Amino acid sequence: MKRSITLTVNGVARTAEVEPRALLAYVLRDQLDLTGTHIGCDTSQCGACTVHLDGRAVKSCTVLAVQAEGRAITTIEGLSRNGTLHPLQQAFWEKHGLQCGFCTPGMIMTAADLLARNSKPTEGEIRHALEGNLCRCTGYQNIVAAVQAAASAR
Amino acid sequence: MATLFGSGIKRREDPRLVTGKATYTDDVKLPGLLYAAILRSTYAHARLKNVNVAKAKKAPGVVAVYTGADLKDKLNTVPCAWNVPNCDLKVPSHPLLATDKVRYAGDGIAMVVAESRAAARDALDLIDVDYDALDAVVDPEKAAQKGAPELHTEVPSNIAFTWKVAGGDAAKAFAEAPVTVEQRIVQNRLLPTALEPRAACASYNTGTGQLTCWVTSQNPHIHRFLLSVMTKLPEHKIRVIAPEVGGGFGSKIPGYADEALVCFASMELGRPVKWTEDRSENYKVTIHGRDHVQYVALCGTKDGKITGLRTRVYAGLGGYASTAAPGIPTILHGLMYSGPYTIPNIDGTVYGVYTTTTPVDAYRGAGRPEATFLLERMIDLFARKIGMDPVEVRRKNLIPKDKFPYTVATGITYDSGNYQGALDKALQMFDYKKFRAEQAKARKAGRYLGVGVTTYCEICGLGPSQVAGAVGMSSASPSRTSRSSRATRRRRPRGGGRTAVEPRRSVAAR
Ligand code: FES
Ligand code: FES
Repeated sequence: MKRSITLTVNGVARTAEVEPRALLAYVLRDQLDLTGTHIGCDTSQCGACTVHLDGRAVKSCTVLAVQAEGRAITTIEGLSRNGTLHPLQQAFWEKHGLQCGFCTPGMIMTAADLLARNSKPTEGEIRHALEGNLCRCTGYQNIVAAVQAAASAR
Repeated sequence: MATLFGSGIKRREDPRLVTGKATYTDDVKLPGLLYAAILRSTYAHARLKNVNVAKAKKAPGVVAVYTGADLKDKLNTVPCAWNVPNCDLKVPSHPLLATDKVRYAGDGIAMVVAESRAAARDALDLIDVDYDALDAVVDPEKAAQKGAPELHTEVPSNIAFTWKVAGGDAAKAFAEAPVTVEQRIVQNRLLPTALEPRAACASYNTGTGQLTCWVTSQNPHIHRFLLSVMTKLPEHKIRVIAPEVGGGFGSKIPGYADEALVCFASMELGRPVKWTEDRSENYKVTIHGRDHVQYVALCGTKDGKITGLRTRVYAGLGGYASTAAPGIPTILHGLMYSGPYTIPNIDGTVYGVYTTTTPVDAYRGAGRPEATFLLERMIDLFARKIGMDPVEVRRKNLIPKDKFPYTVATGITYDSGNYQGALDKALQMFDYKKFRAEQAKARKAGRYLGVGVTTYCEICGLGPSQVAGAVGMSSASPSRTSRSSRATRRRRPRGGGRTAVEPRRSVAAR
């Protein structure tokens, strides 16, 4: 039996008919057409699916869509408003923090959560915060550099 | 304008990638889209007695279910596109869905097409498969021995090919050499693990007879060729689109059965069909890399001159011959046995062996790292045996810079190089002498410091060229970026490769 849920996504109220078992990641991608949130695994390992749920980073493949009922979600598409890149997006671009880009939305959303709580993280704190996000291309060095650059640009 | 070399540029791809606006294959959504899921064998080796899809066909949301028997006259089998010359390569039939037998855990058995991902996935659980389990053999060396379980009736002892490379007189060199070292080396199988799982989305227009296929591909031209072979549609009726690709590392080079299956389903049903593997499926079905068991011997003089190299290599191919599989442990591996060195006598034998495992194909370097490790490891063992600095042994055997063009014993000609110069530069940057002194001091204090030395030399740039044809690549691709100047003097970059990791758009612009 499908259920109707209403949630605020990137500042806009959205409604979707979902199966109780539906994962938020799939509802965002398949039903709300927000394909910037990626799915890279089936075991909550990779973090490519990271979004903000009421301001905190969560792996959306590990959240049931019905759990998001009435709550506020920000996806990578909602991070920059009015056409300017978010400092993290700018920094990933400038510091070569990506190659194929598949992990990047998740990396940026996780890093944004970190910077919201800790505006001047140490390198160790950045690495710890990004522990749940995997990248197969870059080697992490430049991802950490990008987060550091974004922190000092703020 | 930034200078051509040595300066950083900002990549043109990044604005869409950092904002979530990029389109990867699984992001493609078309009106009337159906979703496919594929039932995978849970056995490494088994006879298929019966596949019952009756319940799955009746499940809610299911539009169609196909088994191997349904495809028989409609589709071709999965081709192998590298017909290595001068070896007895046997490529047994690789059906898109198994018919009589499964040959690795992950081999496709049936495909469900449904109105949603979940409905397709649910229906897989309703398919009954009656297996008759057979013995598995996962080690390529064991699989090549008499009495091992055989995968394909037309391939005795599972040996797909025996390929030889020889130059000089290795038997004489070994007989006369004062020093010989021998080693068995296992280069383990590994998983490419691109972060983006493989996917394909096919849309067949029943009015025009035109097939469009979005696919996670590092080489859309090769995919078009392979899809044409499998679907029996002429190439000009197929358009392959490789949108953003989330990493490949070689694993998105081959043509796979599942990509052709969604094309087939779209042609049969007249609706677009998409399939995306999950991570577990990726590990079972998407190609693996390496998987060599190598027996190696190297001989030389007491003062460090290498005079001979002998190899016997068992290269695991998995259950079937994937697109480029035969060329990797031969052309891309065996021809590299001399590395950057002057080894006058070489005698190599490579057995390509079918095992009841996921097919093995190109992974990062593909065959060349396996050759490099083989050779460099042996040189280290040789240096240790004669008590010589591993750097000095290498220096002594590098092709001197005034000897180019130089033809090595495996028969290929290196056009130019200054290997001693490169080695000196590396040693100077690292300050090798200082490190050795520090190491000796640390050792006295009970601390162990290590340093590894290696060279790397690689045969590459295969297609499209006469070379590609000469070494038997039947899918030789237009993957070199060429620039054509038109009357408008606008530069039009044309390239057949696809960005999987490297920023080709930025590179082409430069
Ligand atoms: S898709 Fe959510 S952690 Fe990998
Ligand atoms: S950039 Fe490819 S996975 Fe991170």
